[in-house]
Amino acid sequence: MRSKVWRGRVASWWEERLGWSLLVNFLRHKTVPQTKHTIWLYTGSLILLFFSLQVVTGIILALYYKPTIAEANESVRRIMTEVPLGWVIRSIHFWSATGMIATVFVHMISSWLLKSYRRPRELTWMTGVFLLVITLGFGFTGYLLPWDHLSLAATKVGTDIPRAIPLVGLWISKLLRGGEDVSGDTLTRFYIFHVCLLPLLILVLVGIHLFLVQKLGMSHPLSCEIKGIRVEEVPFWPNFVLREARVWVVAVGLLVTVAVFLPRSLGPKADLMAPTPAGIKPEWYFLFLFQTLKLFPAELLVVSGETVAIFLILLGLALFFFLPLIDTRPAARKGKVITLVSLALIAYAIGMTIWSLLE
Amino acid sequence: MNLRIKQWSQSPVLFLLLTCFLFFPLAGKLFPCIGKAAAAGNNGVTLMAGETAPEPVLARPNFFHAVGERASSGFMRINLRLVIPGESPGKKETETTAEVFFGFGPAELFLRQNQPLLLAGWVERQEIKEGKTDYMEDLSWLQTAPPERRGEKQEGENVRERKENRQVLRPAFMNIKEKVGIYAFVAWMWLVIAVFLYVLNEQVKEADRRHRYKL
Repeated sequence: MRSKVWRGRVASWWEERLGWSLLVNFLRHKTVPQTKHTIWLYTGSLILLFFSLQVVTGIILALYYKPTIAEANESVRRIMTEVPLGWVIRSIHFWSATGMIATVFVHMISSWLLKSYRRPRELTWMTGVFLLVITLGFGFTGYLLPWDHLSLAATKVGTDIPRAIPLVGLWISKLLRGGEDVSGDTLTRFYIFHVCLLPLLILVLVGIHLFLVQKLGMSHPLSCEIKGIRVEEVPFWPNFVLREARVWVVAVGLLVTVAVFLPRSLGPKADLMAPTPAGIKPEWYFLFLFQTLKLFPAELLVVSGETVAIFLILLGLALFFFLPLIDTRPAARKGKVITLVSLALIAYAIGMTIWSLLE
Repeated sequence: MNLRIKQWSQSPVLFLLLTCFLFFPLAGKLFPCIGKAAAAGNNGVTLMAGETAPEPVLARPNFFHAVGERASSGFMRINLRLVIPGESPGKKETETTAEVFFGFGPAELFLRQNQPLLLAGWVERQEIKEGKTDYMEDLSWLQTAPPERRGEKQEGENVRERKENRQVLRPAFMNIKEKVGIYAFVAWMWLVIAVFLYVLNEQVKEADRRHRYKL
């Protein structure tokens, strides 16, 4: 009885200051469509889960990491050998990043195929594309931080690619590198991007994205709209959250198990004077772009092949970003062309990745 | 280590070709074998006196650009000391050092104490011969001059640290206690997850029931 009184007092104290009953009421009344496609809705919260794990493990790693070329590799080595369970923390950080990127891809592809970007969710899609780019940016900047010879080589190649862009390419490359070539300044910049700039950007964009998702609700599958089938809705709290929680606990379990049994190794310390090792490849999520670049010849008529490839990739990204403004059919029209194009591009990306892995 | 040393050349021709290579970066592309020769000296192994190379340095195919670029644009120093195992079992190892400077032109290429290029050898791994790896041949500049000795104790520690830095670090359990602890944690975690899933399933059923009957 006394505890109930105390709980009521604490609740009213918070209510008076934060007015959180508004949020509780909103969550109680928010509903989520329950269809055979609902499984794809779980990917959104799974991304947030992976991101949260990265924030936590990243803060722990930052306590020991030193972003200088003299100490970066040694500090990671120390984390893995001297810090209690440091290698597990680093491994969880790596695998949660991998999981996050994979889930972001699945989330985007499912939204693409289900045409969830259509009116009125154009901005939700666009912020999602920005979030995809930022997530890849996290992967790219984080890859250099251990300062081993592979990460250095990959960064040299990666920061060299923008040079093929006319007019601004050189400037972008210099901005990333902090000079003409990859150096200690690049490491410092990548560290700042990784722990300050990108987290700030992602927090702002995730805030906008979530606000839009809450405001507009989850989209209903087109097939239901066309056939006029009434979609069953379940409350977000507790029905949907409990369903998501099942996915979260399994994801955390898998993540920890993979991190323990397939820990991330650390390569030899990078040497700025060393040549690029043979057969250098980026991380799996950049492989299809990497392989695409390799397909182009050195010269195409009078233009560099790399410039043409970069132009086409940027054009593809722009089309992807503006997809909701291109596919403006009424919701009832399925848009088979978009579906076929998306399936072809997904098959292309998977094919290129496999090809690059087999090479 | 299954290494095989083969005397390849002490010829001044090699020295001239190397000079050509450094003077004209394109020459490295014209003479791939010379490119490989130069690659051995610039393979990420910057060893100080008293250090031992963990294994032969390996040439990389895209070396030409790297060396050509540096040779024409800056100054680079490579300090090598390699321990070469004997050709046959029981034969003593050979320790050699080399210090090479690249500058703005061939005139700045010289070995320590202005000694000529003494020895160049193809170093092959046994695995290469057997086709198990795709490593390329390696050619090293070697010099018989003794290594510098400076503060041996301090140097020994630096050597150990550098050796560690050159190896791929594969994480592992620190001791049996940590190993057992982590295995026990993973097993316990999956047990907890199984219980959680059961409880959550029941909760979902209950929540759906309440929703269905609008309770």
